[in-house]
Amino acid sequence: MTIFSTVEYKYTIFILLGFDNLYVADWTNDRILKFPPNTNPSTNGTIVAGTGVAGSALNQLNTPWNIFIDESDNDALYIADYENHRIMKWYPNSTNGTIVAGGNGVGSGYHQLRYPQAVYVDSFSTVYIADYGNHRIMKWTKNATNGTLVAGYSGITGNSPAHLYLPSGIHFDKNGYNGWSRLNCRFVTH
Amino acid sequence: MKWAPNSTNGTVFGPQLGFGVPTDTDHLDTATTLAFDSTESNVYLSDTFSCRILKMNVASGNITVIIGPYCGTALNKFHWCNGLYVDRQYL
Repeated sequence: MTIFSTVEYKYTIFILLGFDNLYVADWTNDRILKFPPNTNPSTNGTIVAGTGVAGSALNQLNTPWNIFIDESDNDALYIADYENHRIMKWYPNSTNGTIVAGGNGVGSGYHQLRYPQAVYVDSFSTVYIADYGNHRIMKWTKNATNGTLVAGYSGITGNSPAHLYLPSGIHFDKNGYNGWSRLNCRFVTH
Repeated sequence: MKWAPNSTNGTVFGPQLGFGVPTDTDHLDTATTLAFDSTESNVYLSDTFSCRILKMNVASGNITVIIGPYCGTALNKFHWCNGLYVDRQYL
């Protein structure tokens, strides 16, 4: 019997071809714009998420902070929807997004977020979130109704290596993830 | 800043002169997000409160304004930006 796993497929066969569309999280206009490669100041972008008016409906955003595209999942766009305390996922040409993390009001419960600033998604659609206002990194697996804590302590700041203080970014290297923590001015590797 | 692995200090890459209004490419007002293009030959930078995106060539250091400057609601403008992403296509 031959087992050909998704993991092997994604890591062995994908070849980078280029592309270079530029996505801009337009903070105050509550929308995400997409610009073509080699854009210049007179080039119009297209609105790929949000309506231009702040709100919490599924077609709206409220202060989109950072964004991520999952090229292994049909260019799904993930948005740290800061003032809505949720992570949104939009497929191209959709009229609305879906909530993939948070969306349960502001708070520090594991089903909640507090002003999320950044999102990173792996090839299994697991979402990692810099949960800025809760001083923690959360992980939500696909279709989960709550997350799990992967770094920091919920709502508690500090300077020990185990604590985070307003984490505002997250990025993976080949072995795991890195995050950065704004107010204690350091780069943390886990 | 550009830091090589395991180095103890970095070097300035991109605009060199610190805070300033968007009349040149030597000053920034709150640089937030960096993103490489697919060939890693250019870096894109969000100059948040100047409402512009800069493209910096890694080899030459040449800087061009590709979106903005100045904030707005038109489709070739934005109003502050903390998040940038440059997509890639895989076969």
